[in-house]
Amino acid sequence: MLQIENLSVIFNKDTINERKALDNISLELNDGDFVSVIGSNGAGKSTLLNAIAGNIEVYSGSIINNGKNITYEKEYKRSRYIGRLYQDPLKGTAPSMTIEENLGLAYSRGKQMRMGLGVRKSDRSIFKKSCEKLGLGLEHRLKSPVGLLSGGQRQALTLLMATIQTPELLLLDEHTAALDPKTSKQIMEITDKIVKENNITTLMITHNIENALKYGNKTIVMSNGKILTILEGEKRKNTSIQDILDLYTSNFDTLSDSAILV
Amino acid sequence: MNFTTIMGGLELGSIFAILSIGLYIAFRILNLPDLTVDGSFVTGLAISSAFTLNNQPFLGLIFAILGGSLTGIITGLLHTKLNMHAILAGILTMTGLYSINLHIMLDKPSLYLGGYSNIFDILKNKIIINGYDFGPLIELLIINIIIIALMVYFLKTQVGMSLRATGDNEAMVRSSSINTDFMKIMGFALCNGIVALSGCIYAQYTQTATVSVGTGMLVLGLANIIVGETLFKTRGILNHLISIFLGAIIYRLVLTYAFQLGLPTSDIKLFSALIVIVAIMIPTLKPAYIKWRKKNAAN
Repeated sequence: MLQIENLSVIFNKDTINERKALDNISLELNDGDFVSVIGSNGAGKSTLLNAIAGNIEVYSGSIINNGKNITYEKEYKRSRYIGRLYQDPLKGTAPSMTIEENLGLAYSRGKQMRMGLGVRKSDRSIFKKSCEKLGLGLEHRLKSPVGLLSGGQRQALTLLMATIQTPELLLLDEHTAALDPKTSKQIMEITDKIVKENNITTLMITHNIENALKYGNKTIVMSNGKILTILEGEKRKNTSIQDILDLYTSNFDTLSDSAILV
Repeated sequence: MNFTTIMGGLELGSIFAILSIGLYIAFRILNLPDLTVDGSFVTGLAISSAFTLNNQPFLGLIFAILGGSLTGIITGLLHTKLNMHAILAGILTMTGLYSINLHIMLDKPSLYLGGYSNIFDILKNKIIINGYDFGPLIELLIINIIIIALMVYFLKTQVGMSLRATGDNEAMVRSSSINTDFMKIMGFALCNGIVALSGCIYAQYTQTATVSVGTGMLVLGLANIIVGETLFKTRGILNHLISIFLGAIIYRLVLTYAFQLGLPTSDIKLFSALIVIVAIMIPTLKPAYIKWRKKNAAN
């Protein structure tokens, strides 16, 4: 269970460019929740994910994962139980290393580092099986460098790496946005399958409203560093894409009104 | 070139190959040119001479590696914990080391080690072909083979893979719960440990130790790496290391030949610097040249 309490993130504090990226956000995710996060640019979606993953500093508030306060824990320590995917398919893998070496690194996540070869024979059969599940033929190319793969294949591999040791929390930051529509759909389906099979608590940012409503069990709409609404259950089922768009524009109007006043 | 000068070139080339293999960790794996090398080479040399003067040449090898690693750890700490640029961190350590190296060498700018026992005594005058003693060369080749073998194995272990990934994609390594700061410090330590070993062997081979010999060692190491890479264009860690070894040998033979043709020994540093500049220039200027030719052909 992930609890976020009164979380605020302020960029460029005490300068003329000061900006409240997250404004007193509180949120609770239950185990196995698959939550999609939508909102216009600058709404604070990525900041929320970065704060949870630990690569930006929190101004106030706390982040509690399974009863443990992780607000000030270092990023590399948090990644023992947090898996993460970025929008950029190049960001999640080491290009000059082979597929099995990348998987080997991910597979050792959270374990004590050991001497001896990074990819053992027994590991190789596990990697082969997990690659087969992706259905992209990566299992035949375990020894080729990741730099030779396409963006979609690299993103699928990153997904596999993030989940090969089942994480307590999976953070997806628009992970299909840079892919073509067909691959994007494929990756989205693989994501859904892996998340469901392992019952991973997941937070997914997306700009694709259709996906946001189709996958997962909750949808958060964010604007200006605040959570506008949380849709779940019946209410979420009855929400159409147009409803969300209306929510965006109505919120945008109030913003521009106040901007005019200033 | 006569037989003796060629053999001398091969021997010196093998000593500097060790230097380049160490530098490979910082320059190619971590993508950070490490200027500490200019200082740590002399640290190895100084420690080696201090031990040789006490008739302990082999203990000198071990302590040279430890001393060199320590200099790397200092650069690594400056770079990661104080957020210094890697080059500045290297310059600071290297500059500070100059004084420390002098102290290790009993505050004398140069020492003569002739007459003391050294690591080349084992095979001395045992393998003589064509009137030339092959002992030193064979010993140097064995040392190179051991280092390359250990390195290839190490880079395939979990720690080694984490080190490679740190240079390749730091963000990804952090999200695999690996402390990248630790990895970088370890990389610097390894690099300078091996470089110091090379300095140590150099002192025992030439039987002299001069505190100023370190200047330009980084550039020399880079020249070896670049010559090897340009000539052999290989893939994979083992092939890459072998190409660096061969690059170092070829570079030294070219230098030896140039000296024979009358290149003053004082120009050696200029020569190394020019080699690195030209090797880096070619891949950058080639596309521009092709574009220029296309443009002219169109007109």
